[in-house]
Amino acid sequence: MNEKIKNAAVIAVAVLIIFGFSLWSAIKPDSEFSESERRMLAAMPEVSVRNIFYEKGDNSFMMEFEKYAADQFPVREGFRRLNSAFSRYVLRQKEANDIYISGGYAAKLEYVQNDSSLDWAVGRFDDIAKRYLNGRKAYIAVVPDKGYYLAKEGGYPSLDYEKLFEKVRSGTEAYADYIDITGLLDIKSYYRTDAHWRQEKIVPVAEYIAGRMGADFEGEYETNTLEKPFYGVYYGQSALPMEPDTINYLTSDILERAAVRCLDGEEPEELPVYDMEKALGRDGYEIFLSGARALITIENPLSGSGRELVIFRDSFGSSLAPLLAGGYEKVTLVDIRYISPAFVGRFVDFEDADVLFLYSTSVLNNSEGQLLK
Amino acid sequence: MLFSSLPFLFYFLPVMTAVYFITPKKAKNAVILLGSLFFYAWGEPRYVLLMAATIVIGYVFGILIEKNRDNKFGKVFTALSVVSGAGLLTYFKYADFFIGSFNSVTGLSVPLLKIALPVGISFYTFQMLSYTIDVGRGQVRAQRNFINLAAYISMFPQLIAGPIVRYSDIDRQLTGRSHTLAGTALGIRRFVLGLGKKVIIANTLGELCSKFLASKEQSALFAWIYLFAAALQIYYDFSGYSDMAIGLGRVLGFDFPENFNYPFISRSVTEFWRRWHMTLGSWFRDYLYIPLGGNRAGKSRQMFNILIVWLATGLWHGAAWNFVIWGLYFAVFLIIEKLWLGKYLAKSKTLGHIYLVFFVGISFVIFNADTVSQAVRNISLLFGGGATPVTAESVFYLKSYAGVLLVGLIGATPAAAKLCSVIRGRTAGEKTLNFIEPLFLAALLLVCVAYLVNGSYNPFLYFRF
Repeated sequence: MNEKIKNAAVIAVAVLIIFGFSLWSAIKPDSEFSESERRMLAAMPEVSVRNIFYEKGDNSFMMEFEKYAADQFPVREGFRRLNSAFSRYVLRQKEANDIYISGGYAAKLEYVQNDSSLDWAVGRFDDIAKRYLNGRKAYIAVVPDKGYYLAKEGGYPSLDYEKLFEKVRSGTEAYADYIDITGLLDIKSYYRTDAHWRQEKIVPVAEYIAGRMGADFEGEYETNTLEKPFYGVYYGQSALPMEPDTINYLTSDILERAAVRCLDGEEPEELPVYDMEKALGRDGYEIFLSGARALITIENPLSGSGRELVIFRDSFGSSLAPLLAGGYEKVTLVDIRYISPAFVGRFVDFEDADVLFLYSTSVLNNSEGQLLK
Repeated sequence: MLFSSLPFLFYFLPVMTAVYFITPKKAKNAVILLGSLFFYAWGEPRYVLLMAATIVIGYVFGILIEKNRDNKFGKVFTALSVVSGAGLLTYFKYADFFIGSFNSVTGLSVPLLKIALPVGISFYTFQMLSYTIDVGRGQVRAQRNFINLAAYISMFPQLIAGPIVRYSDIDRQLTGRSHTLAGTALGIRRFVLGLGKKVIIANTLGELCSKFLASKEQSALFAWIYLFAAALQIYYDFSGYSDMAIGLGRVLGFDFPENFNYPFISRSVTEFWRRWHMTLGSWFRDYLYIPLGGNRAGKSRQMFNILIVWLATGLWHGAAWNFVIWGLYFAVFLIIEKLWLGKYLAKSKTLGHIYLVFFVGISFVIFNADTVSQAVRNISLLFGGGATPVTAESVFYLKSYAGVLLVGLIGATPAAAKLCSVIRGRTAGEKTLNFIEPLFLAALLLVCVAYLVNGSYNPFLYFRF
């Protein structure tokens, strides 16, 4: 290729890319939602004297337009993947957007213990104990994030989990027995593309917790598989090419007859244990008890135990709680990210109920602003 | 507006270039002026008036100075243009710095003016000053066409991050420039390479720097990684921006001066500053150092002149004490090299490189700090400073960013250019390179777009200039 043709080719490819994507951006209809990132995409900002001349920073027209241009760019997902693949495979970066992949599992890079967040979480649990336990013992279990099983082997920095567990244990020992579940899990207990654990892998965890609380455990389950592939939250955040997960869910006679009610609204709302509509939606993990809810009850008409359980929990509890239902007439799940502990007593009867705190390390380590006062 | 942004690449640039190339020759400068005003207004709509005021000052005084060049008023008008331009710069950039420093020294609380710094004010003010001074010196003729002068001062490729283009550099090109296939292709190549330097290397290293600054376990190892990352980030950011400016200028038919010439291969601080931000260095040499007497009035006066020039150079980069210290830091090394060290450095290549990398590296830790105390803390960390020598975090980030650090180190030397030149020396090699170049540039441009679409870290370092 001679110099002249080369120069023409350089100009041609530049014009094609710049003008091509420019035109494509102009005529492409805007998208509203990013499935992989699970967020609304920026819309074209309104043009006004105020946001052009007076608004500063993120609220200015120019900044909002920059977000719009990025969010609505043609083949955006492809470009996001190209970015992640380039930094991972060409520059050999070990993480993309704070997500790393080791042994086929994506995990969040979190290694700094946030003591003030841990203190905040323990403070919320103290408050609940003072309000509702009346001197009775509760139980507490901490779900380690994937870094517990992945980080050391892959050479990634991780939290000092023993220190974190000890801080939670010692902070709650006055009113709660600590249940160590780390030995019952391994990396295969988690989805590869998501932060959560797999329900079919946590039966031993449920059995152990039930045993520690002196409750019966129903261990006979049938495993069902969702046909829709599950792209977890880390899949979207890392934008790296990964195979999707499959979601399995466990059914039994007890769970088929269990009645689930959500108490978030003015009237109780009947819910399925496994919400197939949610399963096919944006976040497949919401199959379990329909995702984020402040207050849910699971009533088990087959139990003659007369026992009740209240679980203060995060999203990990959604897949575990149905497995604990066998030993109780009623299980109440409380998510204090959505309801203040001060109001819980209006809806929940703590009289003679077992109380379990079940939280993941990632929520505990980032609880400030999440767990309500 | 930033070159490394989607609105620039896919909204401004196509419209600007399309309108520019279909416009008749006579009106091309007007298109540049209008485009530049829009480009500037995107970031600072209200400060377009300030830039317009600078243009008017340059235009009016240019003509007055030329008319009175042979009488005493010529110098008066030159001085007035300098006072007006420097006055605006001082008010908008340094007023709060001086008030704050005055308050700290006296314990008073004179209220700050809280003026937002107009982006690019240091660049366009220096361009205007070089124009009026050069007219006063008789080195260039005053530009009678207001649009031509306004297009020169506001020209968007070099408006917010340089290089500092003197009027004498492009005087003739303003009225008689040519647009060739080879020139346009060269401009595109330069722009895309600069974009890659900024978006892929500088921004990724900037991310590493911000991880260090946000770390709660800063170790000595992490501080050293930060030193290299910061030095390379600033180099790739500045030189990337200069490449983009030179490339865009070339597409529009202008030849802008070079601004960087592999500064990290230098063997002394003196050599480094001949290769780093060359247009700024030569500006201060011609318009401050030499008028102060340069080296013509004895050693002690020369040392004093160096101190003044580097105090000004530091302040030019930002209205903060760490920039003052940064400038004076270099002054000290330049003086030491002139008096004693230079001859020893010239004898040993290795020693010179180690000396240069170490002390210039330290200078970027000072440059990159938000405050003097942060600079002191980061430098002390390099030598222990009470921190753990190595943490798992620092080892992880060293491994994670080793690739980009390596690319950055190699790219800061002429190795790739030399390799291309050797390959080009052979017929088959030249043909192969000619074939690869358009494909490589297309791939590089698409990767840069991917980084921008993904909202990767994309800081703007020139907001203080």
